[in-house]
Amino acid sequence: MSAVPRYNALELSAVQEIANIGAGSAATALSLLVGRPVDIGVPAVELVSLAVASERIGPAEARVAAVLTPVKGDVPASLLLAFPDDAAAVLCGLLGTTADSDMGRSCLQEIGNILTGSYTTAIAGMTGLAIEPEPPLLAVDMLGSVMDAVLSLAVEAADSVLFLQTAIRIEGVECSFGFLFVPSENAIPALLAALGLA
Amino acid sequence: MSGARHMVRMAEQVVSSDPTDMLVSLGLGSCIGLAIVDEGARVAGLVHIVLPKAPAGVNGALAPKFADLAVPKLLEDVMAAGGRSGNLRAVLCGGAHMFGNAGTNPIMQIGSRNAAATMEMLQKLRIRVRAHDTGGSSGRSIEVRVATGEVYVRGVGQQPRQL
Repeated sequence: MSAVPRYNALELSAVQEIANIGAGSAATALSLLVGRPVDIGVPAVELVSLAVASERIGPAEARVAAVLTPVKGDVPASLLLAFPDDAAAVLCGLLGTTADSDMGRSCLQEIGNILTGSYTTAIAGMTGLAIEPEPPLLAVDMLGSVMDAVLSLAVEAADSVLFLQTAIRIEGVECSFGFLFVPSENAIPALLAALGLA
Repeated sequence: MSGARHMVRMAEQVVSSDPTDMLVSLGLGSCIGLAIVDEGARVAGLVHIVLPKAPAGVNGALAPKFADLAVPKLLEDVMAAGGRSGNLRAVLCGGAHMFGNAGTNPIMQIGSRNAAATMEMLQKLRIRVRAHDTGGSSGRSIEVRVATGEVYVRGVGQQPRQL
């Protein structure tokens, strides 16, 4: 049994384009919500071992507010928005609340809902696949502990994981955060097939 | 590699008989950090377990990832490094439900399944559990000191607590 799935450059760039379209759509939704321009970075597509996957996102013990949206359907996956402490505070401030309050937490969860909804709708539109987001879940804790929960959902037999990370930044304020798409190990073939690559 | 802080990341295992070493896993969520120590012999091992059970035919190199393979592998390697079977003690932490309100979603129960599978293997192999701190909905970091067999656990923004 091969522990490391391999994808060629064309396949990886196709998956990257999916992330780009999804994140672009999510950024538009966020911009409407906060009334400011929103930038997205070039999505990073990585196929890395479980051991290093978490540190590609950030320091293991950094505190983040993480919104996880499990995705069912043709492409079982996890979508994760990871707001560093300071970004969560700024974002909640823009929406007239504070990150440490119940209102702030439900606000972050709702932002997660809106952003992942836009992201998945865009991908579903592009691929014709059924992509069904479940209600978002929130955790405020160490980045590493959030990531291991997400990664353990994505891989069983493999020791490596493919993930797509997009940086999102609200212009004019100090607010950057990561948007992570982690397809489960058996979802990638479906994605590639829908793009005519398998 | 004397006096090192060895990072034990997802699906990794480190065993040491160098008393100046520390073995560390940062930010365990649903994963388990399992230490097996022999404080008299100054031998300790730490494994970062991800899932409860290996699928059929899994590559042996992936043993540290799965509780059912990771526990016997760690035991074997700690013994090979000088641990004595009567003196071995296990300490484990992790197995949280990070997204705690997902109680009804079975796929989200990996944390408690990891903890149960690890405990079951420890019992089966007759390794005494000195302490454990599992479950809940918070992440943890674990640090093992080879010299003393001491194990410390810490949550986000907390002081280390000896287990």
